[in-house]
Amino acid sequence: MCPFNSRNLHMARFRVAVLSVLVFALSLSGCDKGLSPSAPPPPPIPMGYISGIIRYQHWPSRDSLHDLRLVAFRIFPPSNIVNEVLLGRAVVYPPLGDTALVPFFVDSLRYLFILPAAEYKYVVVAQQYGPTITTDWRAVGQYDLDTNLAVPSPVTIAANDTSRNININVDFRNPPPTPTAALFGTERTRRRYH
Amino acid sequence: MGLNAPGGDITSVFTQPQKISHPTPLLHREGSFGHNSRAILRLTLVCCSIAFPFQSVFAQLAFIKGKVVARSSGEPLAGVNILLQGTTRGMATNVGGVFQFSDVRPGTYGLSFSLVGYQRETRPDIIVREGEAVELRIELTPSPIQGEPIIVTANKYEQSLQDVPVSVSTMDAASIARRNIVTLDDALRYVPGVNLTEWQVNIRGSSGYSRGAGSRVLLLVDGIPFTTGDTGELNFESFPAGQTERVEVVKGAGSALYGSSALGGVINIITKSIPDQPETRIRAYGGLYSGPAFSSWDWGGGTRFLDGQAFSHSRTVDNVGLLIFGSRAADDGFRQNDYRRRYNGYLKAHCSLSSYDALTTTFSILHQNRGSFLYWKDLPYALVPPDPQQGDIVRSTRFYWSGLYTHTVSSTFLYDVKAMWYHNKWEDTIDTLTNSSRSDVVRGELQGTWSPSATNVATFGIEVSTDKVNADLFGKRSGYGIALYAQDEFEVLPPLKATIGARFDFQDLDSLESTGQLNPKLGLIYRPMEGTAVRASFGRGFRAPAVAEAFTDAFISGLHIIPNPNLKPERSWTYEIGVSQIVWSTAQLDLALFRSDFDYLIESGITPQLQGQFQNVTKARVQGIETSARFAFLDNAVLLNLSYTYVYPKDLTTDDILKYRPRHLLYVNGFAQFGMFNVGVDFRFISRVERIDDELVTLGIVKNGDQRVAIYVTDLRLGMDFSRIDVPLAAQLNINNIFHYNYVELIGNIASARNIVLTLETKL
Repeated sequence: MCPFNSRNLHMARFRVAVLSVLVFALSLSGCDKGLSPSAPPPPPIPMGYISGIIRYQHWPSRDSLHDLRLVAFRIFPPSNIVNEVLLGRAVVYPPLGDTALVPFFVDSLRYLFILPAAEYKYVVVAQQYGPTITTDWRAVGQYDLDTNLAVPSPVTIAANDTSRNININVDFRNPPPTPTAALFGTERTRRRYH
Repeated sequence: MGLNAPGGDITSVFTQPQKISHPTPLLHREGSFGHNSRAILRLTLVCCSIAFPFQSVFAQLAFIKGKVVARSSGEPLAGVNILLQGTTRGMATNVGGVFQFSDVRPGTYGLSFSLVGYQRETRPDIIVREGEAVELRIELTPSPIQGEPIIVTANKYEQSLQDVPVSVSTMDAASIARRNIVTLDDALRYVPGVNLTEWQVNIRGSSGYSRGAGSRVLLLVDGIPFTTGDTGELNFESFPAGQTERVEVVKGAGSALYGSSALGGVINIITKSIPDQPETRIRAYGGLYSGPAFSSWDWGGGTRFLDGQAFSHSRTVDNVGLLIFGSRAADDGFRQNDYRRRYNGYLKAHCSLSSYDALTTTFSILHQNRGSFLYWKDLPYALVPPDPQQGDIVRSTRFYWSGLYTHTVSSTFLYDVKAMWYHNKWEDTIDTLTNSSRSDVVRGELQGTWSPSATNVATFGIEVSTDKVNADLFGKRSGYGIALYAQDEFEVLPPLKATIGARFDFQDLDSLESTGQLNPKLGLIYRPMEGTAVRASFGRGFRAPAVAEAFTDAFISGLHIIPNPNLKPERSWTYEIGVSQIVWSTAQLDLALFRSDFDYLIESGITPQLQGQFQNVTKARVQGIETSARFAFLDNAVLLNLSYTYVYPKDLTTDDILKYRPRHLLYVNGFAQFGMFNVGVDFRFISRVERIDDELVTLGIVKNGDQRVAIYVTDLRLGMDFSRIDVPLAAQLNINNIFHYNYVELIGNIASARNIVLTLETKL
């Protein structure tokens, strides 16, 4: 075989190789664009709904309102909001990963949210009063059938059903007692942060 | 006397084969150096001679000289690596293909000649008699696969790649230039077994992601560490990629020679030598990003551009070579507040003081302003940072100085004195407050290399370092370290070679408990026939915590990061067996099995009090397999490389996979040269990372942060080299991420969008 033919043979092989790489790449990527703006749906688990009205009194100043969420705990007393969320034993509304917040400076809020079907022993409105998401929380209102006892009432969520009238009164000046000293963070040491 | 003139003396400078000197020692010549400088140099030499208990004895010595040409055409070959076997000496041919070893002691030697694209040639049994000259003419035969390039990183001296008992990958200057690589971390994305999470390097699953705090990979420039004192991270942007001759990546623990940080591997940037002839290079590139893949991601930034300019000039006057380099790079970024403006300066000077001494110094400086994009607002707004992070900026100024003095005491012994100073200063406005950090690292090393016979090379040395940090985030901290190392490479039974060695490190970092660590290693290389190498190695790795890991005290997006005064150094045992085989001169195959067992691995975690902290994970194991194949045809005009790496990185404490470690890496690239045209394609597949910082997602700090996919990225490049028609111009068109695939390397961070870049370079 003359060198010229050998060279042509090699070039033909290479063209095949380059085309193979491109076709291989294209087929592996499946012609899709990878990530897209809409997240895929979560895996199906039995879900139910909870609804009610939150009534507010004595709103604090805006600088201590970093966040406000409705939290349903499966156990009482819980160890810590963030810890319970990390352990999957608490559901937060709106979810912590959501940019939407419970609206501030309103008299009342009618809510409805979806959560896994289970018994929730402690449903509470929690205020993040400082910058530290892991510690700067306190309970400002809880669901209790007898407000005089200040004991939270459990709520059972059935699959594909709605537990209604889970109403909560929030008085920022007179919050319910904290279940344990470590339940919500009390540290408020504002440091220089990165 | 010209370098190409017959009889011209060429210094044999070990580990720096490109350095070519003149016959007469500088101290006796008139040159550009002033008398004071010479006096200082003379004093330095005297001090070094006093400090080191070896005598220079060159009486009645001979020399070996010759010329290396291509067998087919007879044309002289420049840059041929030559090792004088049985000694510690090596060098490279000059532009005329000429080489000369001066002052060789009488005896019998072997010479090996290697050059990319040519078969390795050896000349054993060269007899050198007292006072005589041996003259050789060497003809090299073209070979598509050159299986034995010379590397320096594995054992701190030059040796053939197939003679090292660990896995090493290299990337040369041409590959870097063809990809228009601006910062060298991008070059590593094509190296088998290596993947990056943003700019953090992961070699075979050794590293996850720690936001730049600490690194399990040691970065060297010409064998001298290039890491900062505060964060201990690898700042690739501080070194101009265009000044790289090649990059060597040693996989697996290198602590037995390099100490802390070399736990997962070593990356050594070998800088370009200063050419004999004056040379001016101008390089400019410009390009743009494709628009967002989805209309909802369009944040109104319009067309986003990137461009850069670089200038370098070098010349050699007498025995002093000087290279200056300056560059500017601007990148609008395809995400909001992700721009950067960077200025780099670089200076390299080389002085051959005599036939036996050489001094090299480098200085680099960087100034950079950039926006900060920590993570996206959420997936529907993936190219926009959260509102509180809008307008955050980071300003950095860094400079690095290094010096290397090499002295050949005799034909079998030389020593190097190395020193460096790295100053790092940055400030940012992240999370509304201004943070700043200043750090300085100073290192010094004395290394000796002794080769009593052709089959025995001993390397030993002492290294000291000190660093000081003053930062809002880390406080005022200081530390120091001292290390001793020694290793011997010898022939057990031909063709079996062994490397045995150890290094002892003592580290003291501020209030952390001082620690000492002995890191032994053993390597075996068995070469039953030409083109075949079987290797095995094990060794201990060690990494002291970086200041940032031990002392960070900060709030990051609502999470309090606290110091860990009880942080211990990481330790590991690394094992590897591998085989390399050249097939029919057109293919090189490599297979490696590897495993690392880690104790006290440092990973970011959450304390029971829900504070972020760097903690010692009790035990972890990373094991896997890596295979690669390289095919070359038509005198390297056509190349095809494939590599696949499987890694299983397991946290033995929690029985879970380690964070940010993909299991599968598949890289494919092809290149072809057609006369003045060239074309190349790179493809990389990285499997979906199985575990990330779930806490950041669950707590809503990084919204939709769990969204990630496998990575399929294809780059295409087309080039034209007009120098083949006597026009000093090269043009390159790069289309990166040609399929515009959207992926994340780090949670909440869409990686680079498709971009098209045109590069022009001229050499005057």
